[in-house]
Amino acid sequence: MVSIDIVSGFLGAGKTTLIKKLLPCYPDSNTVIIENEFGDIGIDGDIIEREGYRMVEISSGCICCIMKDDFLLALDNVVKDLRPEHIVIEPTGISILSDIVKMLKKEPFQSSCVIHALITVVDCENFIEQRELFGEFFKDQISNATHLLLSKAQNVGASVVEDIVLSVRQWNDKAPVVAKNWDEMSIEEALSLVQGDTVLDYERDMPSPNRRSCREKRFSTFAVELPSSVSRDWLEANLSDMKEGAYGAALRGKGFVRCGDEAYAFSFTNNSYRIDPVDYEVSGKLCFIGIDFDEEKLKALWTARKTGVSN
Amino acid sequence: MTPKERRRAIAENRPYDRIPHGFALGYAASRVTGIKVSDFHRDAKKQVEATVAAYRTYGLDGVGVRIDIEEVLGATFNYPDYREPYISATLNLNEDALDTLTIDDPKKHPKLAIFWRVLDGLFEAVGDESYVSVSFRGPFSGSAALFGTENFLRAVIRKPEFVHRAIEKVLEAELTFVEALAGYGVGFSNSDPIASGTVISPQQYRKFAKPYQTRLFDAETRVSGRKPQYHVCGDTTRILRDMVETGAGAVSVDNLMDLELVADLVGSDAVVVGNVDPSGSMLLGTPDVVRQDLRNCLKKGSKAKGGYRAAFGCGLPIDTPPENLIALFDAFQEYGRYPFDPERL
Repeated sequence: MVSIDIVSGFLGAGKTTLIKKLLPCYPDSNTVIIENEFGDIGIDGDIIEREGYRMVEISSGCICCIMKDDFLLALDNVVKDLRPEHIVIEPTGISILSDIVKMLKKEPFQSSCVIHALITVVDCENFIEQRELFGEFFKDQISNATHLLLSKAQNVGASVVEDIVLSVRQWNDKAPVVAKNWDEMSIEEALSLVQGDTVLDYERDMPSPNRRSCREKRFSTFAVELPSSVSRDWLEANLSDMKEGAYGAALRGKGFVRCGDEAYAFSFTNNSYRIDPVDYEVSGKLCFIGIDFDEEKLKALWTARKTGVSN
Repeated sequence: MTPKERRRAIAENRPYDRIPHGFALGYAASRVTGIKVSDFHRDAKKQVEATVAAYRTYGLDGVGVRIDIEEVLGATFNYPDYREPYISATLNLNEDALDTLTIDDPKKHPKLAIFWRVLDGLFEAVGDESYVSVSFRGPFSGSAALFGTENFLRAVIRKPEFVHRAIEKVLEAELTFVEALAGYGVGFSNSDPIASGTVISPQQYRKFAKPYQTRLFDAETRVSGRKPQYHVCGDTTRILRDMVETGAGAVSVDNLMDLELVADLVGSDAVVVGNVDPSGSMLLGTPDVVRQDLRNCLKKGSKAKGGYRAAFGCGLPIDTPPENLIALFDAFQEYGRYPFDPERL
């Protein structure tokens, strides 16, 4: 059986960098990389060939059916003609991971290939904006991953990384999350990742029970979508209420709201909050993670008619 | 009956042979006359022959020509001999690129020369009996294709104001093109694959795709006298109502959408079009799978209050086996015969 790894993530997330990092862990002569032509700056074909890996590029114009057909064709050719032991696929950044998985679970691939790792690279520097902007593919890549690798975590600070981990956990509470700086990742660690171990798990060595909460489901998440616009006073009043603990112990919260013509992002941590203006389009979604949430009361608080709607 | 006779009979409440459909072969028409896909693009005469041959062989309800406006605007397209064309070089996202996004005189533009020859050829061959449609990408997806989809989406976050100006320029170029078609009597059809809910959120759709598409449809409706068709790939559940509000007369959906839900959401405001699976059924399935898919579509689609037209859920792969096409059109002849009764299926 051909063992298949898929490295997905949006343009600029660092898919190619990661593949380069992981490559030495694959047995060289039996590994084929299928790369999308319009992915990141392509892996240098010469280097790859010199080191014995083979690379197949697929061209893409559209994400939908035509792309799928090209992909099916390319993969089928690789499996039949090159007979590799491993295939690393770097699909286009807007591909739907679950669609690729579905294709691999059908013939002709079902009997010849086995999915090994579905690694999704999450771009820490752009995650928040991307989550707002993008449609289902973005969530799909994260929720169907077997490994979530945060890239550029070292550039954004610990609290942002924590926010991102909480956020991806809403979509995927099983995959280990790796936030380690890739430059500092050893071959052994990269190998363990490829082999499906979780020694790099971001949450593994965290002594605080809070961090493991989402995975063990002892904590709860509350998410709600707000009307198109709310008043800033109403938002502040609600966030103050959250601090008081009348709805349960809110540990962290994040939201994107529109107040009239202004867009804001708020962050709620350790019983304090801050509201910052942002210059991108916001969806009106907010989310809290905490202990002993009173769902009914929370819902009433955030969906009350008196939202001070200003338009 | 020819497509025009069929429509006339329906309009005048007279009997007809079968309900009309919207199946189109696209590049797969090249297989009907056995030409290379690259020749289909390079040689107007061969494209007309292949398109008309597909129309006659399978009894289609119209002929059409598809145009990559992005190529006219400066993107480089690659036409492999036996595969779908793809974009091999896109424009840089900078101010200079914006200045080049114009079509001064569509009739004289060298990159549109083949288009006009194909259009004239189609009218000459079947214009008296069949409808002729012109299809191209809408302003949002056209812009994404021009600049490279992922780069473009990244710019939507980083430089939204620039992105708006880019889409505006693409729209203006498309409007110039549409105006040049006045008097031809063509129908219009736009696809908007990148506007899909799979790619961008509904909020972004309303901001970056819908307003421009609405203006394009306005012009197309005025120029052709008929409301255009609008296809958006992927999951469109959350933007279906917006798609209807663009002024499209027919909304065409991806095969992953449930037609019953689509019929429900669209109501009587537009014709529902779709959505036989071009890959799973047509390319990879058997004639039985194709017939089953078509039957399901007709059953669900016929619940649409504003009308329904069976069609593929997306572009038909070039390598679709002829036996599946034959099965599809034979079955349609049977299922869709007058008087059409969904209970019969």
